[in-house]
Amino acid sequence: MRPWLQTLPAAAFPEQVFPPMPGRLVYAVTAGERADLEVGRHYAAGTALCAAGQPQFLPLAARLICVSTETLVFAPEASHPTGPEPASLPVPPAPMRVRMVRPGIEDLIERARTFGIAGHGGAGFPLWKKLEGAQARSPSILVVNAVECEPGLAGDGALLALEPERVARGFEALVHVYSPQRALLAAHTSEPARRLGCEALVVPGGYPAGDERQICRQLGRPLGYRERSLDAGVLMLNVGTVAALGDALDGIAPNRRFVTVHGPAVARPSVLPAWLGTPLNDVLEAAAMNTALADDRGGSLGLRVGGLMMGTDVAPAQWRADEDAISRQIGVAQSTTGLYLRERLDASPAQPCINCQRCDAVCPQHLPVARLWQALDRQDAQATAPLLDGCNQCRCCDLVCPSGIGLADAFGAARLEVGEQARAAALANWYAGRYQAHQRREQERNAARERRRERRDGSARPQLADLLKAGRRRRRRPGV
Amino acid sequence: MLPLLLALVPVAILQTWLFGVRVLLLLVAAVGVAVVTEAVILYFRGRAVGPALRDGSAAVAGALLGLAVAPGLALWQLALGTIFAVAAAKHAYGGIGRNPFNPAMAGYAFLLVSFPAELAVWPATMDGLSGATPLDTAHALARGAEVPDVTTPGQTSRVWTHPQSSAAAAFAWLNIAWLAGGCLLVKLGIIHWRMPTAVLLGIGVAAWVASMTGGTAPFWQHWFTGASMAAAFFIATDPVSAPRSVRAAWPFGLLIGMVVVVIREYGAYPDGVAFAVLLANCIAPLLDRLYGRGDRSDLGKPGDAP
Repeated sequence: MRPWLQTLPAAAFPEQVFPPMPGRLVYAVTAGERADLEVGRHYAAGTALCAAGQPQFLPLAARLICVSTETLVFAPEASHPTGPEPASLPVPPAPMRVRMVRPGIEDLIERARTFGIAGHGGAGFPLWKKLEGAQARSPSILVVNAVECEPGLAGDGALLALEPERVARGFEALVHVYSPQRALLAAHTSEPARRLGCEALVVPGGYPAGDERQICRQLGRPLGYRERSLDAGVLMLNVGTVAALGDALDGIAPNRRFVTVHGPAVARPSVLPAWLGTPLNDVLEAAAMNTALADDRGGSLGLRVGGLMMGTDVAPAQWRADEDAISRQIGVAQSTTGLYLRERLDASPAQPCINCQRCDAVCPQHLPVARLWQALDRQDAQATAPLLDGCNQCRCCDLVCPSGIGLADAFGAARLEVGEQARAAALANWYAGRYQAHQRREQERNAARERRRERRDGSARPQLADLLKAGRRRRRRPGV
Repeated sequence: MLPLLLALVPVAILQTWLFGVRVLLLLVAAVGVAVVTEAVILYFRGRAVGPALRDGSAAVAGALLGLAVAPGLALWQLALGTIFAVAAAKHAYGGIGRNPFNPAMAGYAFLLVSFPAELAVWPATMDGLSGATPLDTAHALARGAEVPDVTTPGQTSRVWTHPQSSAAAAFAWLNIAWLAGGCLLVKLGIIHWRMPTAVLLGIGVAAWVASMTGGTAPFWQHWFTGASMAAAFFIATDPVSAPRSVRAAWPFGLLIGMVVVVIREYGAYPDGVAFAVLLANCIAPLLDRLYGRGDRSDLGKPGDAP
């Protein structure tokens, strides 16, 4: 457990953890996926915000105040306070209210899909896809990942300490459904596992020890560059995802998560429960009570969403309190593990690689990072393709690069490019195949027509090409 | 690059003690000229000057060159060599990270061909010893020249323990200073031990063969004379001009070591580090093709320094 978590006053974490009501709720939605919502109308807690794709649900009763192409903004209503009693917990739409006692595999997948549960570990991979993959491969090891190797994050620890029953609910269901040979809780210590009453996987070491590949290696099932944990028979889920699944089985859509707020510009690092959709600025203000944020008139602060290493920097307009630009803000999502606030760094231009090979030494995947970069520098993305799959974007190489090269991002982009080329090639192949098949059919049809004509006339009719050839021969003769 | 400059401190101190304050003057001049040249060229190439200067590569090249030359060299000659090192050996090829040759050694080779006389004369140490380096003496001896015995009779017992007692001892002590700086770099993880080992192994093997076939010095002396330790720890380990794969480091280092001894024993120059390094730089890409497979088997163990 991180030190500041222990120093927080006990009152910060009541018996049941409910986040403070935010001033606004902001949801990112894809145009065309939005459910039919009207600006100005009141919506009950649990209302579905997306018709298709990755569903989201309103955790609090709220009024829709703004709709843009990318966001929905709600104003939660004080007249519907969210009390600590379970009756006022946000509820999903009616058909999903049934509490599942003994779910089957399909029930689990269906719940995960209709409730739109995404990975809480940072990448936000849809849970139902993972569960479906697990159904096909029947994993022999189930790992609930609470390692949190990213520097400073403590949300998983808080979840296990404060709401272990949510985790236990999802964990039990997973064990019941997949009946793996081993069910482990991976963490830095064995304490949480002891409290949950399951087998512990103590993961020592710092970043990136909590990565799925590193944990699989520790389990004695190292992954190939193209493999995911399921290929090695390991179903690995973040502890937050398991808690969300537990909620879903009780009929509650994912509605809140723990967010770690830290960084040099935060006065008091803390772990906060936050409703999904809470604008980042609200979380920062609730957490920090810091003067840096208030004093920062010049906009010198930068925010990174997610972990310090793997997170992404967001533009000031997306997190600063600005009533006019509320629709551009982003809210807490299921994958928002932490907020890291610091002085904005001036991106100095990258210098050329000097082949110091420090990146090679730190790569947890043991990739020849320097050579990969040099190949990319030569515009030779194809040659690196099989190795690029091994990069898991942990950014250890970026951290040590003395030339300030954004290696991980370059590899990610190159992988996309190679994938794009492969897709284009496959598409071209498919069309070529179709064209050839079409030509073959055409030839067969012509041949059949020819045969029918022969049978009818008794003699082959002269072809147009033969006539042309004959004509050309005739014309050419006098000239030669 | 700061640890690299730090590792040069023992050498700078010892050289100043042995050869006078002019060593420091040359060192500062070389670093200054290198940095100014770098800045000017970066400016005219339209690159950001600040970050490129902060990495300190120009300062390191200048410092290595300043410590490599004999203190008798005129300032304008050193400046010319430094400008050549930065402009022609580095920026003509596209700047840092793209130079096929070690800039400091290219500059040194330039000076060596242009001003051989000035580079061969090292000032007398306190006891009024000869101005020639032990390698010069050995080189002259090998060609049948008459060289006065530089050690006064009765001093032989304290030759090696007192750096100022003879030129050979002075250079042995200088090599120990380079070795100390190099060990610091290995300890700090800036360089890996394999490249210095390869170079010293190459020197040892070639020197042993030479001493078997009638060379001028016992084979172990080659390690502690001339610029052997500097080449092994500071010159050959330049990551840019060395081969990129781990396996190719061995033939690269061995080649440097052997060519150094061959030039010393049979060549026209008293020391051959600059030419050996430039020659090996030429074939570094070839060595990469021969020995590097471009996959993870090319790498050392995780956690290794390059």
